[in-house]
Amino acid sequence: MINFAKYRATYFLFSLVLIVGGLSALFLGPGLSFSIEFSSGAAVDATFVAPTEQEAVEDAIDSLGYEGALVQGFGDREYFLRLPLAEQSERQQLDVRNALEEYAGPLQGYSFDLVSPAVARETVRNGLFAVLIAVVGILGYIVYAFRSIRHPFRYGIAAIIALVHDIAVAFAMAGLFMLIASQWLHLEISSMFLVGILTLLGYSINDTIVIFDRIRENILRDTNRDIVATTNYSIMESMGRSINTSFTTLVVLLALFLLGPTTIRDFLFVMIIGVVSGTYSSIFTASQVIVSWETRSFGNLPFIGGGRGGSTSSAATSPSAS
Amino acid sequence: MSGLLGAVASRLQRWIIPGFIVLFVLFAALSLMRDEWRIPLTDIERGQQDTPLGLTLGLDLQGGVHLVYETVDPNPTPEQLNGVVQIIRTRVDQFGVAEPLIQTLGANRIVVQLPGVQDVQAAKDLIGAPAVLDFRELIPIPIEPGEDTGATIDSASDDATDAEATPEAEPTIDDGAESTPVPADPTPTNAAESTAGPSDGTTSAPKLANVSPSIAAQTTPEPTTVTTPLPSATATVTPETTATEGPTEPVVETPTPEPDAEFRLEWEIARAVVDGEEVELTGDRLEPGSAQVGFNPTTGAPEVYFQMDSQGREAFRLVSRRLVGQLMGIFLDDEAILTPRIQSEIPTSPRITGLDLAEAQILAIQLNAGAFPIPLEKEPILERDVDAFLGADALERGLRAGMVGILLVALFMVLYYRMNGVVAAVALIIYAILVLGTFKSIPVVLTLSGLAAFVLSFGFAVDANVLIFERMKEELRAGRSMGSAIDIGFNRAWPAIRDGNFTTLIIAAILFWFGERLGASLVQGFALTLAIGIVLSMFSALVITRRLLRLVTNFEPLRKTRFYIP
Repeated sequence: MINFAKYRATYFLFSLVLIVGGLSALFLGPGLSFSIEFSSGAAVDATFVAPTEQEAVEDAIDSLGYEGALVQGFGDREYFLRLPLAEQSERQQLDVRNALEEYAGPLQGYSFDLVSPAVARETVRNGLFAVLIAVVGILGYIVYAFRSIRHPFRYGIAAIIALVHDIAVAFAMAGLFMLIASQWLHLEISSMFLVGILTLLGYSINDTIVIFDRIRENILRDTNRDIVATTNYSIMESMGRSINTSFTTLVVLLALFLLGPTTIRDFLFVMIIGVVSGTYSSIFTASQVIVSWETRSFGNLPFIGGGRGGSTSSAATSPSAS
Repeated sequence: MSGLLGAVASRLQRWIIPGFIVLFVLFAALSLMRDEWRIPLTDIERGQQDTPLGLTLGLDLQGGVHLVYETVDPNPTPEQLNGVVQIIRTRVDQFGVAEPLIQTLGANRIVVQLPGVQDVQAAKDLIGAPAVLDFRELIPIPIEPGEDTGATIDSASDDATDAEATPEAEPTIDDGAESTPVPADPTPTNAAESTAGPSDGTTSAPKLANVSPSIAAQTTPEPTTVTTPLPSATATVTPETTATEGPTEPVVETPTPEPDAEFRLEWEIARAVVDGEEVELTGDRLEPGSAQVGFNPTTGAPEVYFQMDSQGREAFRLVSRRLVGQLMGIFLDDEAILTPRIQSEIPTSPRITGLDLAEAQILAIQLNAGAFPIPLEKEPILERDVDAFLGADALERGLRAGMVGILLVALFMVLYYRMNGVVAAVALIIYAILVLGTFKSIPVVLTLSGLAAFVLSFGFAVDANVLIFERMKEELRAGRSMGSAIDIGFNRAWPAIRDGNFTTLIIAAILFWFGERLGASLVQGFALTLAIGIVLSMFSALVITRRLLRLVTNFEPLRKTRFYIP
């Protein structure tokens, strides 16, 4: 049997490097900005019938008397505009479509989104509240679901650590993506991005629970095995299922991401990262946190030559795990 | 006896559940094919034309406008808010939008969804304007001590400057005798050219609403009385600008109030005492539904004419008699659209001129629908327009991507799990029929995010199957019989399926709440679809897959264990 638990320190280090690296890219690179849903303003996605100069598009926005407008071109026909917006009482009518058609030529596809500052503030508040409720609800459910084994609270905490890990990885990867490929796809923290984060919470917890469920079953079934062996055995048992489910989910997500419409790519990006990270974290983070907690040791690092308490953990691991 | 009963009961049990499943799936499949089978559970209906399987499509997939309006007062009563909804609905209906959705949202918001609307600006003008019409006169107001008496700014008396600026543009004299309204023609041929008469000369700026200075009685007994020469020839001034500038010229011109430094003139709603009762000349006095668009017989310009109730007519007659030689203001939403000088007493309702045809039509609709009981913020607080091209494109790409993804998953399942995979693929097809049938029956509006959730829910549906099959394989390898392997597989997999799906349901509920608070159909569509998908995928895995497996394994040639273990 593969001894998954033996190199747990390596897994933790790997995750740490990935997250720290990605988050550095997020904060030092172009980073993620909030969509108009959270920051207010107007967003326009305009595709012209014929190739159009960026200057013509900028002239059209100038004619509306807007300052601080952001114009970004994708190819020579599609433009993405962001316009700041005054508070409700000072708002003026905003007819971007007519201005664009007048100054820059006929449009083929056009979408316009507008969110007033008051609504944006409300969205931020509700979004934070939604995330908070989700985390509390999930923690409560895990503690309830694992009440029958010893230390249900540890399982709850381990699952939450895996969740935080997955969210951090999603943000880290988004930061790296924006550093490398922002010209290809402009990611934003939009409401669909948030939907992705929350769905990823559900997916990640689902995956973690399947392994914990095995651990729970195996602890009750065979009391002679120690926690290391039990965890290894449970991971082995659920490995096929974890990989197959992640694979099928990834297939549909990738199909949507590559072939589907662009509007929900924020969501799909988060979910694709989340499915991979969620599968990884349930095996290499959540389960290993349980092992570390129950044995009070982080295992050893093979390349560095043994972390703190490395010798004791290998001593504890070797006899039972065969 | 009891043995017989038991046998009957067990036979019933064997047939009831599969029979129920077959009926359920059949119903779902039929509901997709026939429109009449739709169960009307809510009164919300949205665009239905040309959609795959007759599903209801969201605005992001068929194109249209999603607007959220807010009342100025943060705490209106439900009656007031519903009143606004009713008025918007009347306006939208008369405008001719197919299957609009107009609903209250929270305490002081209103959602308006107009599928397929192309001219978003016109739609917003129609919906957002309060359409408060009133008739005003200039009233001298004592000036507060310390106020600059010389340069009092009278917001309403702007016309005079324009008259100075364009003195050659003299007002029309609208002869009451020939002002019998011409019925509205939907295709006015020469309207634009005709307006270029001597009256206002506005051909240079056809887009602007020219405030034509004509006020006329519709059916005047005395043909000579109603003439409306005006100081205001605001031929090229839009109503928007007229209300903002304003020197004090009419103060000097108007005879009644002395141009005293102690007073300034302000537009006040005209009042008259009718039958011992003070009547205000406002839009409330309009006969409901009487506003119509017609064309001036001489100039061909579009006009809006309407009837006032008897008290209103009498009050109007009295006011016009009192104001002979002075200005009267016709105000729409606090903006002067006409400020004619009254030549003589007017015994009937006036007409409103100086609008282009589209504006006249919108105004007539608004006057017929009535004014909002409480004011609404003119601009929406949330707006989402997607044109039909992008909507159709998104739908096509979403469906294609979804198909490809689902086919790949089915292929993988068959290759990896063999006979089980075939059963799972069939179960997935049934699952898809169930979900789509549910969508159509409730009906759930299919949005882009909902489509994503639907495709994603295949992942969850597959997951439950995978969990069961993995457990089954273990039991088969341990040497159990096919029947007990199926049973144990399902029983062992159940806790994991339950726990995993339950947490996702929690997430879906939170997302639904989050979406509802915002009127964000994108988020809500996702949450609802995900929840339906989870419930049905559990049903699909635990009931349908199990029954199918039993069916297949009852068939001797398909019982071989090697069909089930890779």
